[in-house]
Amino acid sequence: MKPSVQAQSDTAQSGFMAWRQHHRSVAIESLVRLAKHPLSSFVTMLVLAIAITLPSSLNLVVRNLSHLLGPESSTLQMSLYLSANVTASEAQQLASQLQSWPEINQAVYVSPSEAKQMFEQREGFEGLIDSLPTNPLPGLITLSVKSATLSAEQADNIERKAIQLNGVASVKMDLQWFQKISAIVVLLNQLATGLAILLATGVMLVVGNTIKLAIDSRREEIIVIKLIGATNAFIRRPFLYLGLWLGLGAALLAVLLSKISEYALTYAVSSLIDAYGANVTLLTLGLNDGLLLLAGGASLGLAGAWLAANHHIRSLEPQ
Amino acid sequence: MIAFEQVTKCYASGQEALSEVSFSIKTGEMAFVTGHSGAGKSTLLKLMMLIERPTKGHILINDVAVDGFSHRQIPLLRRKFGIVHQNHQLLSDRSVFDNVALPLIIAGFAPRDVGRRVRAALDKVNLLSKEKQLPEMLSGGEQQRVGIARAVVNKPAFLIADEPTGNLDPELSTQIMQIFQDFNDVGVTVLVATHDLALLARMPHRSLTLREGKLIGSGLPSSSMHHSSAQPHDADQPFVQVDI
Ligand SMILES: Nc1ncnc2c1ncn2[C@@H]1O[C@H](COP(=O)(O)OP(=O)(O)O)[C@@H](O)[C@H]1O
Ligand SMILES: [Mg+2]
Repeated sequence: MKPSVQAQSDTAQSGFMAWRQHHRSVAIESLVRLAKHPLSSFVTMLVLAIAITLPSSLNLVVRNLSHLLGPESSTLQMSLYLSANVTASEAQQLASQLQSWPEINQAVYVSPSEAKQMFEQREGFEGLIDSLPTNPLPGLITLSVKSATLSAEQADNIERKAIQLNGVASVKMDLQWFQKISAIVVLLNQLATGLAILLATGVMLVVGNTIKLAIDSRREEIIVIKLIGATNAFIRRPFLYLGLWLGLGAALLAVLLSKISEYALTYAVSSLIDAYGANVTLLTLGLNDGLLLLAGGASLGLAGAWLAANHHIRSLEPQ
Repeated sequence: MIAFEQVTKCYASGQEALSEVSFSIKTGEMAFVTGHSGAGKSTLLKLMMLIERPTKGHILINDVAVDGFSHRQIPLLRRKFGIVHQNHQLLSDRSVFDNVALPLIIAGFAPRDVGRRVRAALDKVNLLSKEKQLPEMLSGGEQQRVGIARAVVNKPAFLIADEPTGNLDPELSTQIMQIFQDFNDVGVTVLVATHDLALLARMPHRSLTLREGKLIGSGLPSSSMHHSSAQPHDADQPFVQVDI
């Protein structure tokens, strides 16, 4: 047994160095193998990149939607109609009382005559109220609610509190717009998550299939080195690197694809925004998002390769 | 030391390839396994390296029963053996050097040790000048010698060969056997399966004779003078000329 004892002590001395060296050479070898078939490698990566780009773009769209249209930029409006016997000074007092509520951004008193003016400015209603014996419009208080973190339930609460105030006849709330937007955002978010899970599985399957083909094409070699004492971990290593490179390459392509479509989109949207004279900036794929994509792509590639390599290498045994 | 204790091997097909085979080979010994085609020679060698598992009985390598080894233990067991195959099993897309280096890379040797040991092994089989060639550019005898270099490069305790001369003419066969003898002379335990009786008649070693899976003899050839292999086994000896 002396030879193997000798070999083991030799191995132990420079074991870690040799292990690192081996990792480096296997990593490079896997990259070279990919580069040997540039077209098929590229096509595989492109397929993976599209699968990664879809959910990440959808996520960006959702973030933009809630940024542009969501509660952060739009405020929830409420109108409190006052009873006819409320005087102007009582109404002013009520307004400043409402103003002190923490949920309220702004409370503005609109007197019956101001309401009449506003009403008459509308097309087709000119002179309509003047033809009546008295001004039928009640005074009202318009509230804008701090709705950044407001749920529909909280909005209902405000409504209930307001209607109990003395002098308030009725409350009208413009909730629909607010609710629709948040519902759409929630739906799209769920869609993006579902799509991400589905396509992540797809990425792992595609990588796994590529790894299976790579293992098949090297099956003789694998059997020979199993025969001379290679561990499964050793045999798996080049295929794990292959998966890692595929995933990383795909994620790089995905970042590139996202950036290209982002520029196209920004261009289209900016002309639209210009037309409305609005001052809006779009959220774009940032550095953190890019790094997250790269890390995600690499881990998916590695995971897909690991599953496939484990499965297929175990089934190859010398006869 | 290699020992079989009442080993029986039935393949899944129902074929009983070995029945109740018992023998023992001492460390430093050289022996042959003979018998007609289908007698069970390859099966016997495969059982030692756990390519197959015995249906009954035990296999001891250096007094350790290996037949119950787990999948994780198998690679380390196989690294104790240098294996030479009839069809040499070289990787056709790698140079002679890279083929011989495989066992060292698998065992995790540092690159500078790999180069030194590969050249020592190739020198031993007189193929140092062909290290950059691909296996298919070599003759059959040379390919078999590359196979031997790969088998011994890790300085294994045991050298196992399954019909290593099966495809070679008598002159080359004698050459190959002489190389095995050289390794045995420096203390490596050698076991060679062959049906070439003419070849082993000239060598003074024990042969285990199989017939239809049964061991029917394990004696020395009649003409033999005892071969001395009693000197202690020194791991570095095979490559002493090159190591200095
Ligand atoms: N994998 C296998 N499955 C079923 N039967 C086998 C297998 N390998 C060998 N055998 C059978 O076992 C017997 C011994 O084969 P083997 O050990 O290869 O003999 P030898 O090497 O002496 O020619 C033969 O009858 C052969 O057909
Ligand atoms: Mg055979």
